[in-house]
Amino acid sequence: MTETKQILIIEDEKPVTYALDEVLRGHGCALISTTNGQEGLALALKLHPDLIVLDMIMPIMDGPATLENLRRDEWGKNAKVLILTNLTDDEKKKKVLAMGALGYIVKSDISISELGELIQKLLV
Amino acid sequence: MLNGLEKIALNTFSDDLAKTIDLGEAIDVVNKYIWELLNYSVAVYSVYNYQDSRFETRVYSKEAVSDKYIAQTKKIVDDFIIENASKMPVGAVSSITKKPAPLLFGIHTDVNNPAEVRSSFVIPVAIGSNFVGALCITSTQNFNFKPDDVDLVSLFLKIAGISIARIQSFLQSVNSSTESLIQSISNGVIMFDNQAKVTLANEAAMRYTGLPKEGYDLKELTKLFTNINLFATIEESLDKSQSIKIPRAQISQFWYEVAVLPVRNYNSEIIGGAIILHDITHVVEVDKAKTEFVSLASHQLRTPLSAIRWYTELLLDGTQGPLLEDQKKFLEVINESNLRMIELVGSLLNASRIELGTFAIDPKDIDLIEISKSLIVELEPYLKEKNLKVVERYDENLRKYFGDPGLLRIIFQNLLSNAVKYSLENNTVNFSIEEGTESNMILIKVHDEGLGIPKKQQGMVFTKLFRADNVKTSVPDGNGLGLYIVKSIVEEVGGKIWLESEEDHGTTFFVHIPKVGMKEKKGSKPLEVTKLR
Repeated sequence: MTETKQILIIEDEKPVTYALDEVLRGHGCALISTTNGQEGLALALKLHPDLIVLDMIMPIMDGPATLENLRRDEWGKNAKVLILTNLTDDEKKKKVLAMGALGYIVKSDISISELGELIQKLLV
Repeated sequence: MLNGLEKIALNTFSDDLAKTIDLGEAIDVVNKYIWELLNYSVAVYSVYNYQDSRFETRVYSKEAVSDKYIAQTKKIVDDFIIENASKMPVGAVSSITKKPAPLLFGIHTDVNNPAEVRSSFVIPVAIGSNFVGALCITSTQNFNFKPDDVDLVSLFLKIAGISIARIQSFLQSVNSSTESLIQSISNGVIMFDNQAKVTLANEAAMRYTGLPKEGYDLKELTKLFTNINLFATIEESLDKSQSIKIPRAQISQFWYEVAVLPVRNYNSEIIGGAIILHDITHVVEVDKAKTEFVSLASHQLRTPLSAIRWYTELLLDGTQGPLLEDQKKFLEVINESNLRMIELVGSLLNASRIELGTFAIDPKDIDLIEISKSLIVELEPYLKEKNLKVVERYDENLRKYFGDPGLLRIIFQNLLSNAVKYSLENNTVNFSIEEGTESNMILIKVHDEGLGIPKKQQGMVFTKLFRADNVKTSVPDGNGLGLYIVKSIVEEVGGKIWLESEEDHGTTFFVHIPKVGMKEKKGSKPLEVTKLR
């Protein structure tokens, strides 16, 4: 029996979270989700998840700000973060990749099964 | 009384004069006639030139006299001018000592000629009513000149003076109307001379630059521009003697379209230039807002599309239970249409970045052949669907390239997917990278044996949203943006695209890209590179 991996989804679009839950459930993953960066940051620092899936545009605190705050934390500076967004802004992409995000995935350009496989790969 | 010859001379004289506005040239014309009509040894003209504020002296010798003789003649002129100083323009006489070396015309001097000035006369030179200098004519002979001779020369000089005065006052009125025209233009206009001194700036230019109307160094102006080297552009414009436009130049938070143009005199010599500033701050702000709008709009459009994509895929993968055959078929149609919609959003975003001129070129050292091969691999499922064969031909020497990989992918991908899209079953697609038909170019050639483009529509395939009549119904999944985007990119990187096609026999697209590589262009956004489905 492999150990259950914890994934934190910080995403304001519920359908995205549900779809991820659909493909990752039953693959040894436990999903926790929240709809804004501020709550997401607090949860991340409390739970220390194995992977954080982070959206770019969100209310209260957006993706780049959340990542920036996360990197200030002793645990958070090395936490695994995958950006999952529909924003295709090169400057912002460069910015979050420079802050150590593992990837910048445009939702509409990836199939849900590919995304599921990618996330599992990142958890190893 | 004038004799016949003198009358004819006077007639042609006024015609000759009409062609000149320069005092020096006018004296040449005057002397040409006096030389013919009068028997003299040396004529010295000394006239004050307003333009460079100094005296100009011309010496015409009909006889090989000595330098000393010429100096004697000159002294007569100078003395006359000093005597009449009060009639001269203010400060003119004080500059008489700063006279440049006289210009010598006619017979060479002879140092051994002992001849001295035996007879002479002096006549004032005036332009209109302004006394500007004098002419002295001397002879080595005693009593050489008759009163008629003096009258004749006076007459010539008077006519010349009146003629020049008329032309000058005409030019002055032209100048002053040009100046008032410049002042009334709503664009900023700055005129400068060959010494890079600003000679006139209109109201608008003074407002844009905060600099005075005239009299300052051009560099004071050019250093205000933060994003361009305007001085270098000005030098280039004058050097090449052609006007140059800069689409976007910035002074603090304001934006201008700048035109630099050389200004010529009546002889077509460049005497300086003009800078025209057109305020486009508002346009730039609107552009920026539009760019941001398009970027956000495409994010908003993608959000529901990605949800449709994923949930359709979740239904199709069978994990939610088995599907009836029709249900599966319908879901596949939904999925296919949705993927087209996603592609369209990317293409629209690219088209809008192209239109706004805001897309970036970010060249790197890359492997051209590898990029092409990876795209052909991505096409594999579509090739299989129609049982197509791709024949690749590469010139190994062209493998290494300095280019923007994203832009090259867009070019190759569009041309290749078009070739596949418009091929018939069992066709062959040829793809090659080879030496260009121009020596400084690389040629990318994509050939298919498919539907072709009707002759009369070939000129339109690169226009936005155009789709040829023969494919509109048979191949519905095209948005008419691909070739428009490809052409825009190819031209922006200094290349060229063209095609050969025959309906029902296929199409060949030819793309030239510069061998030296692409030049970096910092834009706000790179273009979207979508992965083939």
